[in-house]
Amino acid sequence: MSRQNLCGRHEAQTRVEVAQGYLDVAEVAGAGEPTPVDRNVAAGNAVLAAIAAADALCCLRLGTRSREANHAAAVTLLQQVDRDLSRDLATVLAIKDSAHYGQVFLGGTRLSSVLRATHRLVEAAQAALKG
Amino acid sequence: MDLTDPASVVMTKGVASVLRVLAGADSAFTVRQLARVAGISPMRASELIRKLAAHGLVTTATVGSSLSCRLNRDHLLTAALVDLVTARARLVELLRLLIHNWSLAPLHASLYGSAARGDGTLSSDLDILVVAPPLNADQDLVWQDQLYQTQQRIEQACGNQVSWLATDVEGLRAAVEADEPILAQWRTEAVLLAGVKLSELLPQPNEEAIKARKP
Repeated sequence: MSRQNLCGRHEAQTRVEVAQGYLDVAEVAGAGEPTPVDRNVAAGNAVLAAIAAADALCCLRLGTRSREANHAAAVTLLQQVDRDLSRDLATVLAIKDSAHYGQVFLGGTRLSSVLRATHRLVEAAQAALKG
Repeated sequence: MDLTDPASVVMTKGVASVLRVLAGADSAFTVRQLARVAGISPMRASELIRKLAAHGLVTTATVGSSLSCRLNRDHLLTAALVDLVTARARLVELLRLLIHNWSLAPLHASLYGSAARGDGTLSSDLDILVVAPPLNADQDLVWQDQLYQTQQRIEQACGNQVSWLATDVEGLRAAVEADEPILAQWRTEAVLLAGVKLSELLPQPNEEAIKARKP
């Protein structure tokens, strides 16, 4: 049993706003022809946006969110909400492993993939909040 | 599972080593031979053989002045025990099979880190380098799905998390130019899972450029 926190609509709303904020920063940093540092900033903010969006979705649909440090539990928990969104979260979180070995592995193609996955997560969280 | 020796969940490392050696060859071993290959002392090997023989798992015979032993493959427990002591190798085979079935084949995939070296623990991740072919946006979604499904399957199979280091040829080139330390680790310990050898994808380091960057 992974460690989880009980949460609801109020926390979900806050997490969605936070997710959108991080995503905005990620998109600005990753726009145009980003340098390796820009890509790192974009990726770091995308990770935070994806986690916040996943928290919001889990709060809204399950009434609980993961508080495990390694985030793999968050992927598993989100699977109970939506399998494709769980895959998107895994995609975004995987760049943390790459970044551990050096920012060179985060090329433009990879960053685009991560930003698309983050977009889907944040949009899904916003839609769930309105629904 | 314990990536150094998954069988340690139910047996000692010594028993697992002896069974692994006996299971690896359909022949009789002297106690000295067995001890040497299993990496344990002859005295310990002799003790373990007596114990396994008492359960009927090993048959023994005296040849001259030495004792020889052989795995009893007809024993009801043998198949289960062999499965246990070969779990690490079977995990690598499962990874190869899963990646082989991807609809978008990687240019290269390899296991590295503690799982490749065989010194992992219960909580070690399976570190996997995967080099993607050129992908459009639609293919990227299929690609991410492959990684996700494989990750889920492996985590169910062994309880350890998969940590992908996903990159492309450009990323590898950049890593060589930056002389990333992880390259040395990949060159020495990577276990090939799919695609071509990493050395075929890695450009030779530009020694002059690296020297020029060093203070």
